[in-house]
Amino acid sequence: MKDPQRALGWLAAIGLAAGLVVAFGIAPREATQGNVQRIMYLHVPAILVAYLAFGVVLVASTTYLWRRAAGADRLAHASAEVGVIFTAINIATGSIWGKPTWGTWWTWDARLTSVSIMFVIYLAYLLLRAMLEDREQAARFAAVLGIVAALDIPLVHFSVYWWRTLHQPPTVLRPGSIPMDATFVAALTINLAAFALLYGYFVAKRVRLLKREQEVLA
Amino acid sequence: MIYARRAWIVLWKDFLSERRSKETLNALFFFALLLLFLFQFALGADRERLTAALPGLLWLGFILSGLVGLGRAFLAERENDCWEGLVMMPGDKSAIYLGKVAGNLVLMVLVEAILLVLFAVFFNIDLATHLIRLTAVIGLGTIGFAAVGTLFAAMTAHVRARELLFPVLLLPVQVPVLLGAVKATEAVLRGEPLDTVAHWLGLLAAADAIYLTVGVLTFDAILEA
Amino acid sequence: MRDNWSFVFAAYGLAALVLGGYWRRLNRRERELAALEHRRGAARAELRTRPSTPQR
Repeated sequence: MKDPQRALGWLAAIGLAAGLVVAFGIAPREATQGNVQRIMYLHVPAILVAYLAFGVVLVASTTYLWRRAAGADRLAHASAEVGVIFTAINIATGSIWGKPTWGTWWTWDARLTSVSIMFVIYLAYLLLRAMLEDREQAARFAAVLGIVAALDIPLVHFSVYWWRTLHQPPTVLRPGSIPMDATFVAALTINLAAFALLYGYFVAKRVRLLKREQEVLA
Repeated sequence: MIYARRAWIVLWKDFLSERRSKETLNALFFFALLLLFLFQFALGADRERLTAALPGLLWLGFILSGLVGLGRAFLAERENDCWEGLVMMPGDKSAIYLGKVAGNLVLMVLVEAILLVLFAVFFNIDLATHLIRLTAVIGLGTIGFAAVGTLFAAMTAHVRARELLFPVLLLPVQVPVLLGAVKATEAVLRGEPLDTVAHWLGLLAAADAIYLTVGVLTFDAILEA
Repeated sequence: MRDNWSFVFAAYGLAALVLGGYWRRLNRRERELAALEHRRGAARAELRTRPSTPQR
């Protein structure tokens, strides 16, 4: 039981090390932004994995309401917690990246705003879990909130996007995506894989911890 | 047919108890009036500044009074030990949800009407010319707010710190509805036709549909004791 | 464009701090649980042995 989790942890550690090597050693210095662009290899994978985490919360919440399996509830809890941490990393690194490139720690830019709203929604999710004492009730309520929160993400995305752009809505979801060099893409992919492994490791560890907590404190 | 009747019974029960006690509505009207004073004092007497901020203030007023009103949606059942009565109601529990949503909708619309009249008088809005379009926008926004608010009110009814948890859960989720409603209200008050904000109205309608569907499907899980 | 290495290191350092902190928190909680389990197990074992001695 413990060994696959430990193996996952080592894989994640190796992946993170490889990601660092690629991000600092192999990926070239970006022409317009300089080396500060290397924050991207941390910033972008963090939010992509956070989206994955919140997707898992949605699936696990639905499964819980349908089957009432305690394991699905633990998965949703663990995934939300790790997702919030990754979102926090994304926001913090974005802020650090924004200071030298935009000259400000924070602007109400569309993507920044929608990510921070998502962050607050899932923070509230964890707060609800912390405030409910009855475990079975907490599982049911959190599952409902997990579903509402996940379905709210596209609404938040569109509303914030239209809010920041004064004109008619664009037809594409993410306009102005810049074509990137193959090395950048490769470095990004490796870091993304490393973060996904880390996510898997943390969730596995947290789920196991939750299970033991429930067994011991029951 | 029986389903609609069950929802109607919940709505009627709340209406009767409210008519006898007049607890919520009177206090909410007074609260709305106080909000108006508050906005006035916070922003000063500068009429131009107030007019510029008006759509936002209007929705702030709706949301604050909605938070106070919706937070009490399940209090009667909770305090008078009638929760089991709701749980034991035969058939599909989502009928209770829809009845409660309808009740909250009526409550919010009444308070919003009062707020709108007060705003019109105090801040000199020409209500008559915008009324139909404004009703459409406010209706779409309020449905979304009541749909999620009712769901979360049922959830937080059991929690000790419910006055705190209810807004903390509801407000972040309501950001899209708030943005859409404020933007659409802004356009309407500027006298623009509704086509210019068609995308916002679409978003509000989509949010209403999503929230109501989730509410109907999951309310059963919230109600079980 | 200047390189702003300090910002890069700040970002990576902060992320390492957060992730490491979470990892350590999980580990500490695991140890606490193990200790609790151990203590309970010991208490239960004591309960099982103690009543038999004075009765005799």
